[in-house]
Amino acid sequence: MIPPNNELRVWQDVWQSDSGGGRSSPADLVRKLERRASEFRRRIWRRNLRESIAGLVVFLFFGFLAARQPNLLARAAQAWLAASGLWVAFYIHRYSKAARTPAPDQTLSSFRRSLLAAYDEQIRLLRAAKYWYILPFWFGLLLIALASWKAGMGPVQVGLFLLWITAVNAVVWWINEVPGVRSIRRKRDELLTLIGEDA
Amino acid sequence: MRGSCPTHPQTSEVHSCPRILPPPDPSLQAFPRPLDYLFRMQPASKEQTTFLRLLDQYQPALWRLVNAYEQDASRRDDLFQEIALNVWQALPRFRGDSSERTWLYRIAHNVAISGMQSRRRTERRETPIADSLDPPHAGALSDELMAAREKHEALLAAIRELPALDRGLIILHLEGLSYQEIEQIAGLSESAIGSRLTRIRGRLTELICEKGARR
Repeated sequence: MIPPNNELRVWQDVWQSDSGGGRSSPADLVRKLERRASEFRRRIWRRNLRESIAGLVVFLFFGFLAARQPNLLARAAQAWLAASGLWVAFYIHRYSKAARTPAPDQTLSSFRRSLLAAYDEQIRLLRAAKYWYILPFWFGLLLIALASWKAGMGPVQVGLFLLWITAVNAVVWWINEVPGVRSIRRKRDELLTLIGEDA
Repeated sequence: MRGSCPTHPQTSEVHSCPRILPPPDPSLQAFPRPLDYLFRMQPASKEQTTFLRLLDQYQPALWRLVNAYEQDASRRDDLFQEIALNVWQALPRFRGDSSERTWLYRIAHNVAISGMQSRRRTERRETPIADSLDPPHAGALSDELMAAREKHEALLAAIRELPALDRGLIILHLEGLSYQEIEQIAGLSESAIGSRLTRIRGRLTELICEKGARR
């Protein structure tokens, strides 16, 4: 049953006659916005600080070990790990922008496309974590195992160490690749359900 | 701020009069200094004035939109603030390619829809607070007003049953925007909007009738 035009007019009148209920004074609203925006800025600042400190701690720790290491291979391994810490911090900082909500002052269709593209980018980053996150650390730890073996560590101990670092990295890989991607995919599907495929 | 200028009767805008300054807007005086660092603007800049004017002009329409998108009474204020914040942050990018109204609705609908998505996730973890639109006291309103209110609530309840995109389109339609303006907001072609709105209006009628029959 499609309402005739006069009924539509009635609906429009009913709709527009409502004041919406809430009304904020500009001064009140500005204060609330200020608080909200500064909370958001602080949250981003804290997150960036946390990531930078984590990267710096890894860099300083392995950099310190590398500087004190007489063995060339062990020094190279630790320098590699130090650089990996910086690289991962840089990468997260550089690409975390992909997770941001796109600018809302575009048409609903292009906003939807941008949101979907942002989700796709997040999925790509999680899937690529094995290359930009896991591989550098795993390779550095592999070099350390090699250096330890050369320095006289028993093969069983070296084997156990290799097994352990591989298992830890495999768990990290699995978390990114399976639950991580699944969670973003769910959000993506929810968006499609909400807005529809044809928007 | 509108009014005829006593020294320049040819202009109806006090703002455009070169000799008389507009009276100070009390809401502008309420701007605290910390906003300067936040929005990198001087106090009472053109953007701030525009922002306050837009809010003043469109606040009822934005609240209607918020009511249609957010069922939980406690979260409506939150959504309204989110929309206002996005409008403020987007204001420096506004180049006037579209009208202020379509630009504002674009932001409001996009923010409401993306907010809907995150709220859906939260709602799975917590029970939403029951909706309440400040129910009127019986007897406090005349029969006519009560009937109008009932009609509005039936319409609102039916709109909330619609999927997000349909909800957005019908809100714009009810606000009296033309198909061309809706096109600028939704990014769909006018013909697609027309056929979609016909279907939505039909669905809305069905929903209202169903709800009426259940009462």
